[in-house]
Formats: sequence, structure tokens, C-alpha cells
Amino acid sequence: MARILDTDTNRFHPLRAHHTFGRSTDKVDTSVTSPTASRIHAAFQWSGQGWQVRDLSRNGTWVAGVRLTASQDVDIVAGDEVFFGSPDGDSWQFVDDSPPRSLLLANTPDTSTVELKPYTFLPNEGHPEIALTYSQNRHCWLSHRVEDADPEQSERVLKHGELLFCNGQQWKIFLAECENATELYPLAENQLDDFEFVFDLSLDEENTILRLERQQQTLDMGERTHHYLLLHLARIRAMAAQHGLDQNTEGWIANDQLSKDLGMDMAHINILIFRARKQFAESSDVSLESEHLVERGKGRLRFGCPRFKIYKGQQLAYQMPIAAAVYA
Amino acid sequence: MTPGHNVPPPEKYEILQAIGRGGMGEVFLAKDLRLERQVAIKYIRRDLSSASWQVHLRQEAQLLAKLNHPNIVQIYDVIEQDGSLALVMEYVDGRNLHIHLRERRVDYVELLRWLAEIAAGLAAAHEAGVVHHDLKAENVLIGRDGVAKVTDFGIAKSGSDTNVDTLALGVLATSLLEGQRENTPVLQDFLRQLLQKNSSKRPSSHEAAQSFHRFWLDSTQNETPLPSKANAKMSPRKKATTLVVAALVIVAASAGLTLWLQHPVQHNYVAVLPTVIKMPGELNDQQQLNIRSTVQQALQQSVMATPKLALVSVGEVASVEGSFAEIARAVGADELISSSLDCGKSSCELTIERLSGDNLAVLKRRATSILVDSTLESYSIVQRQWRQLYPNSKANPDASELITEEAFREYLKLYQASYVGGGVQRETLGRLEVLLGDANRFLPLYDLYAHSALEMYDESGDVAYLDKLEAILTHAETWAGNSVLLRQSWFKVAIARRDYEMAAVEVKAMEGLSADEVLINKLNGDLFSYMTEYEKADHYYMKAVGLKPSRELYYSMGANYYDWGKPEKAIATLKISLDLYPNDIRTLGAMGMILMEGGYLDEAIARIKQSLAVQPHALNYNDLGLAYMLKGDYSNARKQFTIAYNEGSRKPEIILNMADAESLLGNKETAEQLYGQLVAQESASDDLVVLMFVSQSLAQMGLFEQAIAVLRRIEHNGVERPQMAFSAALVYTLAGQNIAAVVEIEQALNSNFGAIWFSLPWFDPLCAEPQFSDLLAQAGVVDRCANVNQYGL
Repeated sequence: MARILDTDTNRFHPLRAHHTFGRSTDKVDTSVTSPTASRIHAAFQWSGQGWQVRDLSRNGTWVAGVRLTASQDVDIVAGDEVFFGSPDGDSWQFVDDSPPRSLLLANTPDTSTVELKPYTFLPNEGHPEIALTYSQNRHCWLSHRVEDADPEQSERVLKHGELLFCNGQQWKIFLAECENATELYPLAENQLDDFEFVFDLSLDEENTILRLERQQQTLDMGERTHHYLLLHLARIRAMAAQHGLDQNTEGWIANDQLSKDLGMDMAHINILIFRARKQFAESSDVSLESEHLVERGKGRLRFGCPRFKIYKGQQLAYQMPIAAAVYA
Repeated sequence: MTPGHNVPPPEKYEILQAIGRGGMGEVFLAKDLRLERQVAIKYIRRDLSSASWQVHLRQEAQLLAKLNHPNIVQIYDVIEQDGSLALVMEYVDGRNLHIHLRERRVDYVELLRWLAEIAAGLAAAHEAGVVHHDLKAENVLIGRDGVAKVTDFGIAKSGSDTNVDTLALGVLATSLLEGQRENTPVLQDFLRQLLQKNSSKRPSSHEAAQSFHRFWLDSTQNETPLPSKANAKMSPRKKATTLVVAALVIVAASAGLTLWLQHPVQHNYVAVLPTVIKMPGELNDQQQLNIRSTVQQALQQSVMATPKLALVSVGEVASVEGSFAEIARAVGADELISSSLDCGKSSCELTIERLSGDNLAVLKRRATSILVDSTLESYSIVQRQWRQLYPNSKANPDASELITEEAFREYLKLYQASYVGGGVQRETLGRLEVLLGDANRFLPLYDLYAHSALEMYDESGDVAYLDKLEAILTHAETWAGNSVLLRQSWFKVAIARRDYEMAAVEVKAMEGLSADEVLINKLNGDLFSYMTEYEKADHYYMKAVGLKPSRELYYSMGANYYDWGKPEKAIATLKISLDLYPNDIRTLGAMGMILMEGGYLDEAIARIKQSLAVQPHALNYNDLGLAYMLKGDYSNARKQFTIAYNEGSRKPEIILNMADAESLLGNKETAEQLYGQLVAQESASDDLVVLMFVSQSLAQMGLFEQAIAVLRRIEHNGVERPQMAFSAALVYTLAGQNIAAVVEIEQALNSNFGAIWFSLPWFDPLCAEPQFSDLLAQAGVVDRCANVNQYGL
């Protein structure tokens, strides 16, 4: 994660993909207190492969001993020293030239800094209260309170510089990208629609193994506790289809009902859903679009994929779409 | 260097370096090896490249490749490697709008221009059947030339509903313009229309392009300076100064041409009308502005380089409307030069007409062709046409011998920014010095420098600007020789330095150079007025008016009477002016102000309303509000200030006036809020007049120490006491320092400041000082403290 060190205060500053330095305290990302610095003095920018610096000031910017030409991009690497406004002022050390990363910066002594990755759970994986996800469509980070019946209701868009509280801890949100820009993570979007979900349920319904199949590929998702939830939802959807209901619009189950069926409260269910999405998003072979894995409606849920097979033991118990085609 | 994923670079292009990441993939600067030009290659992320989507993308790209528009990033080619697509497109050397705005201070006029450009790009694409789907600041590139170009068209998804783009345009525009005080209600209304949920009611992109274009043009119009509370709290001499400067603007002379004539000759006054573009053709806004600018300037300078001709100032001409005859009479012109352009793709037909005689008939007409992007060449062509219009004019060195095309373009940009844009910037002077280093015989540079330096001095009071200007003018004399116009610049510097002896010398020098008689008389009038020798000044103004009457001369005469302490004569003079040039808003405004100061509030209100009927301008409403305020009708006063505010002039003085009205109405909270808003907005200002408002606001908020600190700052910058007397008096009164306040008031009244201002209730506490009511009674405000007891209640 890219960082620069202010040798005057001995503080490290993480860098955003476009990061400004200057005397102004509200208009720039990192403020420089030297009187020779301009209000907006210089900008660092991540090109996708490396870092560059651009001088925007009146008195000049020095990188690795050389004064920059105004408004021209110049490459900078770890180890280079930067001066704003005068070559004998406070030096800034560019210590880390790896790609910029979004973070939750610890804001109190009890908190520790967390890297912001899709499906981050706070305060921890084991007992999550908040789930953080990244929305591809809306190009933003979202936080959800897991215990809410409908987390989408309580969702909050994370904005750079705002604070986040959880379980007595406090973080400052640090977004490497400005709003509307696409995050750097390889959040590739293989459509789930391309795949058929194949569930293998043990007879005693204790174990669920899941794999995804398409023409040339099988993805083994292994055995996870959250697969049972998915299976159950898929089952509900299949049953609705069997009863002749429209396959595209039907197949929902009310939250209360689901809660009863599984013997879990909504908080627990939400955690499982997030864990499922996380697994799919982080799948190493091919990255899968996971936002639509489970669809949410007003107080109800539905399995998001229209193509699946459920085997109980060795027998095919359910499938969608329904095989029979009726010719009038 | 190879791109990040495992796609080998294509053979026709050589990848040079990574230049960023777009929403769809990484972008590289590359060289087109066949055409030997720079291009940008955007590799589309593999995960986004499903088969069906690739087909769509290729179709979009084909449509886009046909599109050639200055505000769209051009697509040249679509290449494919191993199932992955890459777009080869126009390389724009610059940043996207989002980053651009993060890196520099926002210029409101530029924001509007960019929106107009973006909308124009959208309109062109929509016409070709392409929808963008993902319009945002990151997808707008600003090149080195400052022009906005839209990129990443149609890549997000397919569809034919163009309304999603206009919505996105509305969202973008709102985010850019939010909170800007120059936003007019009309603009805000338009933004609301763009953001409507009902997509069929949204304006089309074409309509948006036209609307933003208009908003941009409107924002570049110079406001006519009118008297207002700010100026009421200063001697009107200052207003007249601005007039003097404005009148003598664009001082240019041909290199080395001196007018050696035997006796003073009365010159023929020629006014160059603003160039009109009849057919814009395919020219974008900037090109239109450039070409108009070029033609106008070439004509203006040709006038100045012609013997026996005098140029009517640009400022004068710009502020007049009406038929040719009316304009000519108002500005005191004997002849008019009108010009118009009929443009096509890359060239324009230019028609110039010389209008002369009582009915201003066309005496001579010239038509010629000029190329759009060869500004300097066009300038030279216009210069050459001049000799056909005025056969007795001398041949002057062609501009192309004095300056390069590149330098000339930069000069045009600086000129536009100074006159048409937001005003003179500090950087302008530096840039001009650089240009003068090479083009030291190109006189327009010196003019612009003089204008800019004087304006910067006006605003900041920093004499360093005058020092630099003098150095540059000396430079001009060395390279360009002596001339009337050069002496005029020296005259202005002398006035600014209050070195009246030197100013007198300059006028004599101009006489020696056989300058126009009317000009000499006017300058003498101005000079003596500055020296407070009002009678002598009047003598010269009378002579000037006798030779050639004009609004401007009457205005100067009136201002002279006003300063002299003869408001009745001032009004009489302005009345004469109105008889000859009815509905002149500047004259009406001045009359309104003088009447107001004299206590003739009802008549003042009548005149201001007359002015409003001609042009409902924010500053007129402001003046009307002031009149009501002095009358004690605070409710009406607030109404007028609110209108002024909403009319789009978020000027600090209007905010102050609104706050004052609320305070006088007893709405303390609202008043505090407004005072606070002004302070927050303007404390960092360099403008001394604005700082006076800040000090008043601080005092009204009870922050007396800070208020007085700001007063000290203003003082320190050498502002004359009379000018800040009102602010100082108010601050001291509110702070309870009665004696200091009365001292200020005495000073103000001695400089003929309007006594009526001190009849405002805030000054009631001063009734505890007997000197206060005495001073005011002497100045014509009797019984000030009649209803106020000795405790000021």
C-alpha cells in the first residue's frame, strides 16, 4: 500500500490513487504546513502501473533532487525524496510505491487499521456486526448492519474521510479512489447466469456440497455452512415453479418463514448470505458476480439463479428451469 | 512496456507508457507507427469482454468512429487480440475533469463553458444514434487547450434512450455548480429540468447545449458599473476614476508613428462595434470568441494607427444599445465600423463596413475570407483591409512581423480572460512579461499590461504593480517610440500614484503630439478634479462638451460637481445628459445615488425605478433597496435586496445589505446568519472594499476586536480615510467607542460624504455626543437626535 512519510512529524500518510498536497486544509488530501507551499501544491497519481508526481505550485516541487517542470507528470519510485516549495524545507519520503489501497484507518488506540476488501466483516469474521461490500453498479462501498432484517434498508454509502463505528472501535474511512471511479480490485463480473448450480445434499441434510457448472468448466465450491441456506432458497424457488407459478417472478420466501425453517434469526441469516457472497467474489479460479446470488425484496428473499439442480443422496430432487415443455 | 494483462501489444502500434486507468480498462499512450502520431489505446478488461458484449462494443465503436466532433474523443480503430478488445483513440494530453478540479481553483465561467462543450458532444452523439450511458466527470477529458471532450461512449451498455444522458448531464452540472454564488435562478431552474424524474420532460441534449452556451455567454458579460452602497460609502471620485481608466482602455499605437501636425486638429471619433457572427458554421465557442476578438482588435488598432482618427473606448461601445445613429450619438462617434462573420467549416467570410455621415450610411464596404485557426494571419488580413476603408491611412508593419502565431494566441487568451472573463489574474502580468520578451514591438501587449496592472493596483493597493508598469512602459518607449497613447498610459500611472504634477506633464506632452482636443480637455478636467480644483476642472469639461458632447463627458462633469459639493448642479448636468441620451442606466443610476445622498429619497426612488424599467439589473434593485432603507421602509428595502440577490448577483455588498435590512427589522438571528455568511465567504479576499464589508459584518456580530483588526488591515494598505470612514464609524459606534466614531464621521463629512447615511438607527448611540448632531445639522440633516434621548435610545 502506497505511503509517504512526513519527516517533520514522523507520520506516515497512505496515498490515494489521486492524492493532492498543499497548504489548504480542506481542499487537499494531505496538508503541508510550509509557508512556501501553494494552496494546492502537487499531486501524486497512480497510473495503473506506477506512481507519478505533478507540480501545481508557484514555488516548485523537487523529486529526487530535481525540480519538476510545472504540470508535467514525472515518475517517482520508493526511496525518492520530495520537497514542497523549497529544496531545503521539510523532506517527504516516498517509502512505498505499491498500488494504493482503500483502508479503514484506526482512529482510536483500541482500534486497528483494516484493509478494505469486499465482504469485510467488522469487528471480525467470527462475530460480525457490520458487513462492508463494494457495489459494482454504483461504484461505491457500502456498509450494512448484519442484524437488520433488511440490511439494504440500513445500508450506508461510505464516503472518504467519514468515520465508522463498531463495537467500541472507531475508524476513519480512507478510499483510494474518488467517488464514481472504479475500484482497483479485480472485481470481474462473470455472470452467474452462465453457470448451473449443482447442490449435493446428504440424506440427513447435514452436509451440502456445491459446484458450479458450465460448458467447459466446473467450479468446486466445496462444503460450507452457508451452502445449506442457498440450497433451501433454491428449493423454495423450485417448488414455486412446480406449483405452476411464473418462474421469473415467483419463488420468494418471507423472512419470518425462512427464519423458522432454518431455526436462525435474521442476523445469522444475513451473515450467511454475506459469507456466501464473499466466497463467490473471492473465488480464485474465476471471479463471480455475487450481488445477485440472493435477491432481496420487502421482507423476503429469493435464490438469485434460475438454473440449478438439487440432488438428495443420489436422486435429483429439484431442478430449474423445469424440464417439461408443454406444446399446445 | 507491456500492458498489465497477458495481451501482447498489437503490431501497428508501439506502446509507450501507461497513462491511467479508465472505468473499462487500462489506458496506454502509444504511437501509431503508420500515421506517425500519438494515440491512446484502451484495453477493455477481459472479464468485461463476453462475446455478446464484444459484438455490441464493436458496433458502438464503428458508429463512434464516424463521429468527428471537437468535444468527443475520437475513436480511430478497434483491435482484437486473443479474444480481448482494445480501442485506439485520440490522445488527449490532459486530465479528466474530476482530477482537473481537484488540482486547481474553480473558474465559474470555465465551468459553464465546459458544460456547454460536453452538451455539444452529447448532442452530436445522440444525433448519430449513440448513447453514452455513463456520463460523469471521470469521462470528460480536459486537454491542454482547456477544451472538454467526452470519452467512453456507449461502452457501459447498449440502448437508445438518450434521456439517460441528459439526466447524467444534469447530475454532473449540479455537482459542479452547487453552491456557486454566481448561479442565476434561471440556471438553477434549468438544472432542475435536467434532473426531472419524468424523462420525457427533460430537455434534449441539443437544447442543453444551447442553454449552457447562453449561460456561458451571459456570465462573460461585464456588468456595467453602477453606483451602489459601496460606492456611496466612497467618494464618487473613485467611480469616475474607474471611468477614466475604462475610457482610455486599449491603448495601442503603430510602431514609431508619431503625429506631427502643425496645429491641434479635432479628430474624427470612430467607434468599432462588436463583431457579429451571423453564421457560426462549425466553429466551436472558443473559436468564435477568438475570431471575433481577433477581428475587433485588428480594427481597433487600425483606428488608432490612422492619423486624425480617435478611437471610442471599448467599454463605452459595449454598454450602449440601439440603432447605429443612437449608438453613435451616445458615445460621441462620428463614424462607426461594423463587422460581421459568415462561417463555414474552417473559414469565414468577413464583411467590414465603414458607416459615416448623419444617417450613418455605408460609405465603404470590404469583404474577405479568413481562416478560422490562423488568428495572426486573420489579424494581418484585417489590417490590410483597412487601407481600402481609409485610403489616407499609412502602411503599418504587419502584425505577423512583430509576434508569432503562438504568442498571439496566448495574448488573445489573456485578453479575453481580462476583459471578458472573470477579470485580471495575477498570473496575467507574468505571462505578458514573458510574451513581451520576444514580441517587444507588439503594442497591444503593452496595452493589456497597462490595463491589467492598473486593475490589480486598484484592487489591492499594492504599488509594486505600478512600479512594474512603469518599467514596462519605459521598455515600450525604447522599442516602440513615443506616441499619444503611450503618454496616456503614463498619465494613468501618474494619477494612480497621485503625482499630479507628472500627470500634468503628460497632458502637455500629449498636446505636443497633437492629440485630439477633446481628449486633452477631458484629461485636464479629470486631472484638476483629482486635485480637488473643481472649478478649473469644470472649465475644461465645459470646453470638451462644447466640442463634442457624450454621455461620458457629462458623467465626468456631474461627478466633478458632486465632489465639489454641488449636488444640485450635478443633477442638472445629468438631466441634460438624459435629455440627449434618454434611458442611459449609468446616468440614471448616478442620479439616483446623488439624490439619495442629498436626502431626496422619493425622487431617487423614481429615478432608480426608471433605470429598472430599462434594464432590470441586480445593482439597480440594490440601489432601490438602499433608498428604501434610508427612508426607513426596511421591509421594502429587504424585498429589493432579496430580488437583487436572486437576480444572480451574489455580491458581498448585497449580502451585507440584506443582513442590514434584517437587522433593522429586528430579525437578529437571520441577520447574524447573513453577516456570518459574508464573513465566511470573504475574509480571505484581497479586495479592500470587500474587506470593509467584512469589518462591518464582524462589528454587527459583536466581534469588535476582529472588526477593528480588519480596519487596520485596510488602513495599512493605504486606503484613504474618507473612503473607509463610514465603515470605521459604524464599527466604532457598535463597539461603543463613540469619540473615535465621531472623528471618523467628521472626516467623512469633510470629504462630502452623504450625511444621510448617519441617520441610520445604528448611529443613535452617538446622540450622547453633542458634536454628532451638530456635525449632521451642518451637513443638512437636522434634528437627527430629536427622537433619541441622551442615552442613545
